[in-house]
Amino acid sequence: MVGDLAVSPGGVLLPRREILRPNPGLLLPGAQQMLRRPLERWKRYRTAEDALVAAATLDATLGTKAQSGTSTASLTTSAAAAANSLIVVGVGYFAAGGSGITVNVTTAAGLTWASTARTNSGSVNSQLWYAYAAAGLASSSVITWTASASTCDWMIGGASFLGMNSTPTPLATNGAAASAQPWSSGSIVAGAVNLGVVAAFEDGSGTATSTSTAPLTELIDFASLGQTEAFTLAYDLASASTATLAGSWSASLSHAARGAAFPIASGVAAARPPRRRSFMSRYVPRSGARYR
Amino acid sequence: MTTRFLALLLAALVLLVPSTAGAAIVHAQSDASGLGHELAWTLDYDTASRALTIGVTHTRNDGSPAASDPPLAVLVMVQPNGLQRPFNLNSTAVTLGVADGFPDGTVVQPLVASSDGLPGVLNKGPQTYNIPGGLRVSANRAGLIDFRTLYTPPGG
Repeated sequence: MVGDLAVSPGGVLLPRREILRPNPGLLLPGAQQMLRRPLERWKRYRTAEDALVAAATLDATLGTKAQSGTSTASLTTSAAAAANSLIVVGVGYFAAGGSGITVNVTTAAGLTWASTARTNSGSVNSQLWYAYAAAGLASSSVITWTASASTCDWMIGGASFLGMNSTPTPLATNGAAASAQPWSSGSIVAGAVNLGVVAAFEDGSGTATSTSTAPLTELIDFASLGQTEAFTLAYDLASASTATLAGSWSASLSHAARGAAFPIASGVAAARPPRRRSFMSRYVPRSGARYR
Repeated sequence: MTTRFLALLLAALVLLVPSTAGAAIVHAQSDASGLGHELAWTLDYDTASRALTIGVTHTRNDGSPAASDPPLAVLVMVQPNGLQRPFNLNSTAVTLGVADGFPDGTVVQPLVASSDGLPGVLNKGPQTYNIPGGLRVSANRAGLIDFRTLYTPPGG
């Protein structure tokens, strides 16, 4: 390249802008089409995908709650969730009374809550609860979970997201339990770009910390010394159609992780990139039709 | 004399009664879902008899029958020593390793449920299996079973 000149693929010295954005007059008609159409298609799909991802954003982190040896636990939100946001709360609990203990929302703060299935092993449980807040949720709102029996150690944390589908049924979910440093949701086959959220809860250390694996962004990472437990919540605003949401504890610990893929608002299907075809197949007429 | 006799009798009874100390049923459950389908499973492991009871349902999200069996449905149990025991929920084949006493490294064999004597576990209700070598659970107060679920839904 010399100044604003550069060597084109044909070996001709041309203004650099003509190479990056070819002047149709410099190209044969067929070559113009070959360059322009795939580029236009790519730009069109790229724009749709970018718009989709840009539309989904983190709204607020809603706070945490740690509580030991009780049948109920309440999260008092530390921030307001905006109108038309999806609220996702991770609930980790150690059920001393056995593995069959389940929890349910008993104070809903005016929202309609649903949950993923719980991932349970032994007494360790992890579950995601979610609700679409059309009118938002005020700061200091109280959401209460009650266990089916006995007492539990609880660790709870939540966040809200904008640009999400108002019917937030997860596209896909998965979970896993292990006694190890790495934690993982397992592979989540959503079939579309999505908001991936994962909660991991460990029992055994009151000082453990978690590190999320990219592209996850960690939202919450807190431990309770008295409970010898820790909890983390992380998300990915543009989680791939098949993805594993993972991280690692600071020590080898018994834990359960639960992940879900939530649908991003409108155009989820349109965001899927076009199926790639071979270079030549673009120019082979099919059913008598010319390539368009 | 009578007191001593009763004490001896009580001691004999204690010795005769089979001890179940340390025995427990360890439970685990989870699900994986995607593309409108859901694979949900529960697992109970009897640490005394080493019997593994697994119940698996594979349906559409609304509970109606699945379009087909899943292309991939594996429950991977991970031993505390790191040994992985993948249990294929379609074929009920289990992959075993050297630690299970198999000299050739890894073998795969379909397990037949002791409850009905037939292979297959999807949508059949709880099925009980005896895994060669048994299953070790994590030595902690939670009695945790390490697992992860590999699931590819129909159409995936």
